[in-house]
Amino acid sequence: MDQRSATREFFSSLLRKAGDTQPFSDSDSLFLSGRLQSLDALELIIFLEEEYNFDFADRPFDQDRIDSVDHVVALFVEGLQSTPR
Amino acid sequence: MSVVSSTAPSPTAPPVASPSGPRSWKPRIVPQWDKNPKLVEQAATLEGRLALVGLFGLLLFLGLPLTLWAWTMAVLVAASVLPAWRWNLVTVGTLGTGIYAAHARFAPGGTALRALATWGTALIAVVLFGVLIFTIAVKWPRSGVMKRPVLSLNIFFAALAFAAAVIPLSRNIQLGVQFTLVVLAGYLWYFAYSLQDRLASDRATAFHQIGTWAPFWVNASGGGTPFCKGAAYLRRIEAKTPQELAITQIKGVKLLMWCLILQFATVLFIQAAFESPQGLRLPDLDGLIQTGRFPVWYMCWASLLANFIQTVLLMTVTGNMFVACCRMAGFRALRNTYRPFQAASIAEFWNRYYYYFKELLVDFFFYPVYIRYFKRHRRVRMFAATLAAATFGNIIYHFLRDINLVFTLGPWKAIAGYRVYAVYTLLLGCGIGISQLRKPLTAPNQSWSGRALASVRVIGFFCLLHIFDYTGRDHSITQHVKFLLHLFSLG
Repeated sequence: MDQRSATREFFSSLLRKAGDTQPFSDSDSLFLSGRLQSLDALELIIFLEEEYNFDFADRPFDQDRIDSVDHVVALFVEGLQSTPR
Repeated sequence: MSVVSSTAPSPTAPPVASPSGPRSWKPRIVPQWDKNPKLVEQAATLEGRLALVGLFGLLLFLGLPLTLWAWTMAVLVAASVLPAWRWNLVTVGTLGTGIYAAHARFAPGGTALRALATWGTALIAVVLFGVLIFTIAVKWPRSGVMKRPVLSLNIFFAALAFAAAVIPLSRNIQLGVQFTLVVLAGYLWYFAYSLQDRLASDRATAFHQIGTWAPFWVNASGGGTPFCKGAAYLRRIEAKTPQELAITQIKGVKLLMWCLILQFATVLFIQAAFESPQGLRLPDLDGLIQTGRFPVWYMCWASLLANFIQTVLLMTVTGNMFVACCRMAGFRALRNTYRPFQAASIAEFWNRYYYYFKELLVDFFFYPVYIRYFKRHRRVRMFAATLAAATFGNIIYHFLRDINLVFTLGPWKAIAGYRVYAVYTLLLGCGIGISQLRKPLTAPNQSWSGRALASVRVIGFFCLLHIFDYTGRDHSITQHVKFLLHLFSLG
């Protein structure tokens, strides 16, 4: 599964857990829009750290940066992960 | 930390006609005009926008002094007619309210410290310092102190304040430096959000950043908590289409109406609880704690509960009024306070009670700890980050906000006298931390009574915690503990 699909699948699982079965596009805001909560953001951080060796420590973290699938994919492009598994 | 957004008003979504009939009807104090497609369509036109701003102005007239009201309305009308110029207008509006605020606050007749200042020095000092550090941060975003700009800013400020308090200087220079620091203290967290924006590819210019430093919608109440955060957040929530703007402005009008209703209710409540001879005539909580002379236990409970409700009501009115003005300027901001008494957990209450302060603590204290430390221990990681925000961040924020006390009392007294609030933040941090580690007190399908019981427990916790919510420097911890014990007849 590529990074976009994996991210999308993870977002889907978070939404399902929150009881939200509405569809969403890759550009849809999920945190700012209120569909997901900050606790979900923490789960997403852990997912990115554990699955893709992301390290957010060396730059300011802002929840907006993981607000949508597109935002997270942009982080992959930015190279926040050290050594992909 | 869970955020209020799950329960806060949803973002601007296209309205759909709701099915008619008795089942879909629900009595509301403020009608849901934003859900009416016809009304939204009309509000999306220029005439509609002006009508909305006019209505908003009539309501706002009840809540602001005339000069400030006229300036705020001028900015809102201009932003409604020329939405493409919104950011420039916000900056102009903010500069105008900055002048008004400085003049109102530092007009002659104050203390010697205040009398020295003029509105000009206050505004120039704030703007120049902010522009300087933002420019440096943009030019060298990852070098030296700019790797951790907010931490550096706070250390720099604290060191400067300490130096200004202890280094002997001529009286006038000392007062000038101290005054400048007092003014800057109110803007520290606005600067922090601007510094965070330095790495964004679409970051706002220095001119537009100025517009977000105590923006005009905080009604010249000065610095402190950045209502509606900084430029980065505002870019994300800006209404992009006429329809989005229409819904946002309708929600602004609705929120202001709600604020005014609550303001009226608050006045009635204060009269009934404390002031009216025909009312309960409850004793003042602060006075009770200060004197240590307590009436019977149930009067103390009543005083505590009434004081707590009053605090929540005032926070709701003030904060949401700022948000209503921000919405009228075209930003889809979430409410500051949203049904706090419905919270089913301690963490949820804190979210619902003071959203933008919580966001500040999350952005600048929670996440920095969470993404760096205890990564292998999830529960420790969560608890440590929560303590960093609700305890440590909370203390730092209030200490720097009231930096004038360092100059008037001296550094040691200002620090040592802070003990009561330190206890408050420690209890708050532990409460939220434990609340987040535990399973929710209520399940989605829990009975009404189950939810009510959870809410009562949460309100009980915050009500008792309210005893220690004291940022002054005069009380001892013992005075507050004595009051707590008296509530349970243990004094």
